[in-house]
Amino acid sequence: MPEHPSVAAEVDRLLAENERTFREAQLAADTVFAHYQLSQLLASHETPAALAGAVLEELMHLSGADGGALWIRDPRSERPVLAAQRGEQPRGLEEIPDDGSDPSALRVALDDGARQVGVLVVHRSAGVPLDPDGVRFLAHVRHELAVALRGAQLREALDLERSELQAVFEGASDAIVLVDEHRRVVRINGAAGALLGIPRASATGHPCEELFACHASRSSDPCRDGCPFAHVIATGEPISGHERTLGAGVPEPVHVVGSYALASRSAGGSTMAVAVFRDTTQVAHLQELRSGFIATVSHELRTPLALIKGYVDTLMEVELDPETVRGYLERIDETTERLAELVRQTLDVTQLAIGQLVMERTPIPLADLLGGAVADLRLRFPETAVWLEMDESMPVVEVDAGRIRQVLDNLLDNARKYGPPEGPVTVRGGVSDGTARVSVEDRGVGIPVDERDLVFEQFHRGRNVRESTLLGYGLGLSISRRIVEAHGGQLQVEPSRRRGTRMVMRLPIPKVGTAEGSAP
Amino acid sequence: MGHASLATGSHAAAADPTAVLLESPPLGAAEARAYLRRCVRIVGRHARALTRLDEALGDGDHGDNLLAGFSAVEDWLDADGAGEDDLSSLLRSAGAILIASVGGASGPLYGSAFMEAGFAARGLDEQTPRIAQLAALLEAAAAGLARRGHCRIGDKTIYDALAPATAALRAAVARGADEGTAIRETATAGARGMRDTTPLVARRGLAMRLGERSRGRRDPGAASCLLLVRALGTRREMPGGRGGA
Repeated sequence: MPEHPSVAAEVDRLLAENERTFREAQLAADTVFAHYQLSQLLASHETPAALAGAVLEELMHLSGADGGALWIRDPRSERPVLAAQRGEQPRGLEEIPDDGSDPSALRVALDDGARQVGVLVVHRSAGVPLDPDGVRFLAHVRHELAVALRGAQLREALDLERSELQAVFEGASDAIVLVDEHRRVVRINGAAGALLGIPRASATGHPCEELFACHASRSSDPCRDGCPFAHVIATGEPISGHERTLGAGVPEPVHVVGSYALASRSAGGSTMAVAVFRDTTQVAHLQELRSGFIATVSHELRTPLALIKGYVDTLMEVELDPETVRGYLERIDETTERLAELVRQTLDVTQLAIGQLVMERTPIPLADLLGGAVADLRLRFPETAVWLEMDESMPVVEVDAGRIRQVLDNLLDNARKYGPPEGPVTVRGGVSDGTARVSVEDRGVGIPVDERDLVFEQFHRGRNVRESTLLGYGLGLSISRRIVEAHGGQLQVEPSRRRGTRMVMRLPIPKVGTAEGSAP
Repeated sequence: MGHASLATGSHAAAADPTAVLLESPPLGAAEARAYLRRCVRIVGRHARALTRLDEALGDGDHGDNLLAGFSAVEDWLDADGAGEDDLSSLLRSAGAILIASVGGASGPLYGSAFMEAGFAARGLDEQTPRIAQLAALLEAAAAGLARRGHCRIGDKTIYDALAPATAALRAAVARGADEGTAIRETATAGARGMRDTTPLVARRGLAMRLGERSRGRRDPGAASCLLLVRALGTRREMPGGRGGA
């Protein structure tokens, strides 16, 4: 049966309507999906440059463009910076209309509601129009795009700041400890790990009193009784210059001065406090050394001065026979010499301590230095036998000749002083293991084995000579070792085959050749 | 021709498999139902591998998302969809479920593909051989997915596996190949397309943000698409016997 024309027309109309609705729904779904895709990219936490590149490509794709560019305003200079570009830029930015009057190119200002964040341009070559759906979409998402790019900029700035702070935190020579409101360690830096002698990872989460071994250092409850962290967390008031000893009960406790402050107090109630510790062990040690040094020097100066004063008073007030007068004057002269020597050595020590040892290095045959020192000793003490043995090929060393001669004189003097008056003092020179080696050996009282390193400490004198009448300040070897070390060499006590002491000095040999040794 | 995968449903007991092309009835809801169940199994087997691929390029949830989506489809098949006997409605419902339950971009994309196939199923010519009907559905699915995702071959997406698979199926149909051969060739082309995504730089989707860094990795979408293509056949029909379900 033939269909009624009006029914057929109505069916056609409904089909067309259905088709149109379906296409509109498809378009709407496409837009939603495109939006979703873009949102995923915008939420991907990429850098502004990576985000700009991906977003530009996506929008070019959606608008059918074959070129485009995205400028982002630099937050510091406030100038637009090209963040991404694809394809050729056919025209100047200003020549591309932003009102849609050119169907083949579009300029969109990206503003986040408060300010312009950037500018986006898409274009299609040869005058082919852009996809109108894509263009609509682009206009639709421009605010979202601006917010995301601004967010990426802020994130990048934050990351940069965080990495800078991290570098400061990690690179700080002071120990930094961060604790939460329960005084559990949140983080420590490398210096703190080294100071406390614990791996950094294992510190996290532990109560701070474990880290600092507070219970070992105090009898009362340290957590209730004056814990600086507790005070800072409770009151918010910073503490500075707080002195304490860390690692009490361990062989080498560390003296520190700490500053404590609140690191953060968030709205959620989470509080963190930070402490910065400076290791003052060295400072305390130096302080101790300086006090000891002053006391010793004062004592050493006072004794000969008292002697001189005594002799001078006697000479002035008492009539003495010429022989006694001469004897007194000789003692005054001798004591003055000793005083002068002490002052010279004290100056040396002071210079060494503050690192001001000025050296003028020149190449010089070691044989000359050794020969000169031995000859002087023989001249001054003809009764002491001094044997000098040198290898045939003695090296040239690059040293401050005066300083090394000072070392040699000190070693030879010691050997003579602590050995028998007749000697012998045996001096050997040569090359060993690529270094210039000089040994000075005596047959004296020797250095007790457990004091072999101590003899290089300032003012240290061996217990076997301390009570003797032999003069000495315990400074010579300390000065000598510093001088030798300043030349890159070593000065050590070596076990001697016979009784007595063998001091060995090693100096580096410069790469230039050797000089023939001169026989004594 | 072997046991025809498209007949795994109510027509699975066809006495003479060689007669399928001539005598088998048009594609129906039962075939689609069986296909969707194979999809659930194959995605389940490979979900972790897909997620691992996605960890490099996307947000590391593709396998889990897809499995959740196809599991939801299976739940529907067991419940409200149990009585659905219209191929078009079944495919469209499956598409709608995938859109609603698969997270990420792949939900809308696969959902669109299934829905487009469902729309196309309304106009199938019953006189056309079943394999040609399947080609028409797959073409509609591929076109729908490409339109929704704005994707082209070489963009490093699902479409890079789906487009060559569809083209291979159409070519096999044009050549008069039997169902088994046609489906094997479809899967082989899909596998090649998936492998070809490895050297590509992503031009669509979340992987775009990686730019050059996306090169050298297989696209997880193309990999999951290959699984769904392989599910068109049974395990026996697939090259190497690893595909299908």
